Amino acid sequence: MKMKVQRHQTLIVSYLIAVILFAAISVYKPGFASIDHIRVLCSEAAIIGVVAIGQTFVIITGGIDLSVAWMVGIAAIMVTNTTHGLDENLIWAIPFILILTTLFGVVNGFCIAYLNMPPIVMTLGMNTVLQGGLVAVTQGAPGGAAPAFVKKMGQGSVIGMPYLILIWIVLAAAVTLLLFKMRYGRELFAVGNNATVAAYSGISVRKVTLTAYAVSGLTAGIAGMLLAGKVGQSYLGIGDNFQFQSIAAVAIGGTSLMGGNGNYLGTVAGAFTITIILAILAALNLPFGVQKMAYGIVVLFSVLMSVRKGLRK
Amino acid sequence: MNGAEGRTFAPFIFRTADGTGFKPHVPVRIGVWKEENSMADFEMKNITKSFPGVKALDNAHFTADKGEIVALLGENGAGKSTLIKVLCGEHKADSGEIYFEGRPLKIHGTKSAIKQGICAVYQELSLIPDLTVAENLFLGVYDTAISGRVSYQELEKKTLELFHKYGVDVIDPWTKVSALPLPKRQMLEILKALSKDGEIIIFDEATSALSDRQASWLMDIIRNLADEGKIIIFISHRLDEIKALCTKVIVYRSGTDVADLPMEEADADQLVTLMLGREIGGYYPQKECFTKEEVLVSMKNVSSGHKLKDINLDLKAGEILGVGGLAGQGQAELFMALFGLVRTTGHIRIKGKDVRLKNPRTCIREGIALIPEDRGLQGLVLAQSIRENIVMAALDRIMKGIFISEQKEKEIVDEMIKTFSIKAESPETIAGTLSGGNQQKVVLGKQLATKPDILLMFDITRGVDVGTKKEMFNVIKQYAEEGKGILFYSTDMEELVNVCNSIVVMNQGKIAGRVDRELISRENILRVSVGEKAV
Repeated sequence: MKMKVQRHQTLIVSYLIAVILFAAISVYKPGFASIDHIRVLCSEAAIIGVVAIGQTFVIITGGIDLSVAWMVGIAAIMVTNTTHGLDENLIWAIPFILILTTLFGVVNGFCIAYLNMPPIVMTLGMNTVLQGGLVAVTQGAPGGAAPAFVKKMGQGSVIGMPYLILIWIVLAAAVTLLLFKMRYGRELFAVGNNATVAAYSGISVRKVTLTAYAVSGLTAGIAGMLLAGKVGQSYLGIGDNFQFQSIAAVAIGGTSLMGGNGNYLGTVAGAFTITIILAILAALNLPFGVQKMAYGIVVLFSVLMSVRKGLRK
Repeated sequence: MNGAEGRTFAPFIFRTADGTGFKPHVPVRIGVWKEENSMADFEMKNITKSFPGVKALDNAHFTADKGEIVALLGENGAGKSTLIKVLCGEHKADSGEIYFEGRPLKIHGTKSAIKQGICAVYQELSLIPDLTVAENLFLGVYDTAISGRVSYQELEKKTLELFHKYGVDVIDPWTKVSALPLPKRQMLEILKALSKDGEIIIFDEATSALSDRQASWLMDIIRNLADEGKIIIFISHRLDEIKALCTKVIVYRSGTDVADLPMEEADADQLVTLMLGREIGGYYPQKECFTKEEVLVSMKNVSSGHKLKDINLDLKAGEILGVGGLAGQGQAELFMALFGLVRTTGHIRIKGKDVRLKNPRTCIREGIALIPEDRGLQGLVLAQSIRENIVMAALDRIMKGIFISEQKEKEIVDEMIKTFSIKAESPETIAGTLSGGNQQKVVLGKQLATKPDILLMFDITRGVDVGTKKEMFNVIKQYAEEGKGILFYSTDMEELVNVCNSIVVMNQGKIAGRVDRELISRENILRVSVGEKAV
């Protein structure tokens, strides 16, 4: 038992932070803990959480994916624009969008794993390319409403449980299985910890790294479509916040930014923490600038903790 | 007072290996009268240091006089490294005192230790691969101009002076350390420590990566330093080396000192018994030949860059084939070629089948396993558990459909822990927290979990204690008996001679010759490496 607690210490701490924050603000603002508000918070957290799936994979390899912002954006805008808001077009639009964002991830991964591009530069560059591309294609005015089915996924619920959360739970379970019960997870952690040892153990370091970025593209695509459904429409810059939020969720969740260890369940706690912090800042009626600043400081603080943990190792 | 008797008048004798005498660099006090029962020049008293779950040092003592070369002996995990780390300020002792020349030493951190004249050469290299030779040697102590700029001319001059002073073949000061072979890096490590002009100099497994010639160079230097009145603490697992070099020996076991005796009074068997706390039978297992007719590996005209030229070599089932020669003659490249780590030309046949060994993965599938020399860099993921490490190369064997079968995993892990008697609290113990010998056993377990037929063992006993070495030799013999082919390289020639059935000797990337069975001896290996015939 004691060993279990020790082993999952970071995970427990991540959840404790979320719970304490939530409890504290609930005392101050009674409406905060109402079932309806909790549902809203969970839905917010779900989208951050889905983007952060790929980010968790990438960060475990020791890299980072800064291109998620516009991959989310592309998915959100395409699901409203290309379908003209009609459900029947989704049959081809959903697979098309997912393949497209996954391909962007593959390009990231290929350049990083095979051509030795530094992850920060590569994904930041990719982000800019995507942004430019989207502005060019849509001529700066994407517009369009989300198809009914997408909207239902983003806003509706079944027996009181929002679809967003159901989707998130399914994805989280799949990811946890992948990380801890399947071959790829083992290879991913080995590569992130020590690529030389992994290579000497017969693991294809390049393929594993490329796959992590591809997963990041895929999950950003899923998140983008859900986001369009939740908002009901799309606009340029719809995904901008997710770059920072996804990384922060991973870091707060106890995954070391140095790579090599991590747990998606921690990232889930991180997504909740961020959502709660944002809600608290909004509830305090602070000016927008102050909110952003406070939020940035919290993220930097968590990164600091993460890096220090890495050093002690 | 050990070592103080019979030397109440302590003249400093200057000698060098060739007997021509030696001029000290620092003025020494000649003829210091010592009081009876006075303290030794250097004492560590009642040192205790605990880590979570272990008492690494338990009321340990260490004494030495100036001019002494003290061997610090003990199994891995006996507390030697912890003692050294306490002395060098890397760990803070829970209790205990340190005295030098009768005054208490207060050591806060590594910098403070260096300032007070304590410097160490470690087994794990501390050089920064991406910096040049000169930059590494004087890292942190650059002479800077007033502007804060490093004077590179000055740096080059000092580097060359240092090479000259210690009689080292000059290495270009501006090559990157990453481009140098391990023995050269180890020499730089030694020079780096020597450049600090310490009073107490510690050599922790410093010879483990050196060739014989370099090792004897180091011994001469150590003797000279001792003659200058420095205190030398020498840690090595090679008893012959200790015998030849040291003036007294302190033995550690389970975190405390169990013996402190002059070298002349100690014999090898007694030391081993003291270290282990029990008798140990013959160090090397009885040599037997299990060589069969089946050829497992056949290399025909294999070359790789400048490092490997025209290699023709057969490894048979059950054979323990040694690879000898001076250090850095292409032995590492030979092993890398057989594990898909370098590109090669020529033909390699594995078990009678032509194959292209393009990466470690194909090699593992062909039944080849490499046990690499550097367990921290190539062998183990130190931050992961024993379990995760052991199955890392053998994931194929633990899959059940697309999922990992925990039961299969457990079977393999338990089997390997048992085979190599890995001592750890549980399979979940993090590999990096194990002692060196145990880590090396995990590396063996990890590579053997793939069920290989061909074992490439590259200097697997480096920095491993005698007890563990003996276990390893027994396991090697057992695998040979099972019909596996073993390619064995070691920097310790004694090991090659005692473990192998045949030895191929390499020189400048070529196989200079082969020494078989009865002809195997140190002399013959050397003869063949310089182009003569074995007699």
